[in-house]
Amino acid sequence: MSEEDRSLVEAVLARRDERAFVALYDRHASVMYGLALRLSGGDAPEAQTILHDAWVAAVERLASFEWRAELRTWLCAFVVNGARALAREAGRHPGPDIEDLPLGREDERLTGAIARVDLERAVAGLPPGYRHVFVLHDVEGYTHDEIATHLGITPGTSKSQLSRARGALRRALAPEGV
Amino acid sequence: MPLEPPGPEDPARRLAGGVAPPPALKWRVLHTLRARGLVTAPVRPGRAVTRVLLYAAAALVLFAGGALVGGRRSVSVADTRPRFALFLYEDAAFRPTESHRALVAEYSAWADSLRRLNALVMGEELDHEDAAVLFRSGSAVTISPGDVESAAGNLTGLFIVRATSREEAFALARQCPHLKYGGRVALRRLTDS
Repeated sequence: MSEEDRSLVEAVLARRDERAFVALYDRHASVMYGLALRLSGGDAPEAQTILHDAWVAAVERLASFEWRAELRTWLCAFVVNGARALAREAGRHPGPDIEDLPLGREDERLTGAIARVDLERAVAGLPPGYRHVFVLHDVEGYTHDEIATHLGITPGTSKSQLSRARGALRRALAPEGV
Repeated sequence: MPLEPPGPEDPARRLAGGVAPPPALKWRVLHTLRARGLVTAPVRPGRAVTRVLLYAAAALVLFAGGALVGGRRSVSVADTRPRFALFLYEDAAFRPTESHRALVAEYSAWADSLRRLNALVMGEELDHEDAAVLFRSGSAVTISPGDVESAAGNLTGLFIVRATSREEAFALARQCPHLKYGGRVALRRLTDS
């Protein structure tokens, strides 16, 4: 646990200290924005809305943070919630496009030399529900239990969505005609 | 069978990492937090004394800037109806229930309705990134970053409309979505009208 985070949070809570908030923002905004960009499929305006709303919601609830987790983890939860809410608001279905894909090597993680730009493009093309699970699990390293808590789904659903997301990515990244 | 967990050589892990957000976003967040009373802007020495004059000066600058560069013009230059400025303020009472993007869409829809009435001269959200207050301190001019302190809160938007009377301007302003979220709208008639 970061003592610097704790003292900055205490300053914001006790004195509504704007300088302390700016220091918190500078410490964590890049990680939150990177996550927001990946969850939104590279949509910068949407990621900025997510980041803005995440900070406002987090500061409004700052007094309830109990320091049982890292502050950054707690802040990122607001990013995940915001991304999910925006996808829901936009009426995006979690993934009918690839619902019927046959399962083969879907459960295996991606391997081999894949250009970052190709992978980013393929991830951005996933339906939001699958993209969220893939980003949280394979990119950010969350467990299925953590994803289930954040996204309000069961761990089993998280696993099946990850499986289908990996399958869709494998197909999107396969050479033409393969 | 459990899914295989990602390993360090997994190409997906290479997508992880921070990305610096645009600098303007910090000011947008700060602005919202200030408006809701969640943080307090640092005190700037000397500001209270010059507050009223500075506010008037800032308003004039905004008028000039808006008139020169403001978009969304829809009223012909031959239109002789009086012009009214609507200043949008937010303080701790401003509690939007929508996301910033949804708010922008809602305010834009209101601006479109003014345009359809041939009443809109210009309308803009005011960015806080470059906000600054200039004041003379002794023989030097001090430039202080941030907004002019106002009992009405932070100035966040500016619209200029055409109306045949003050009452008609009130009727237009009454429909501004800013009011339903707890914001304030200050109305002034432009003196050359």
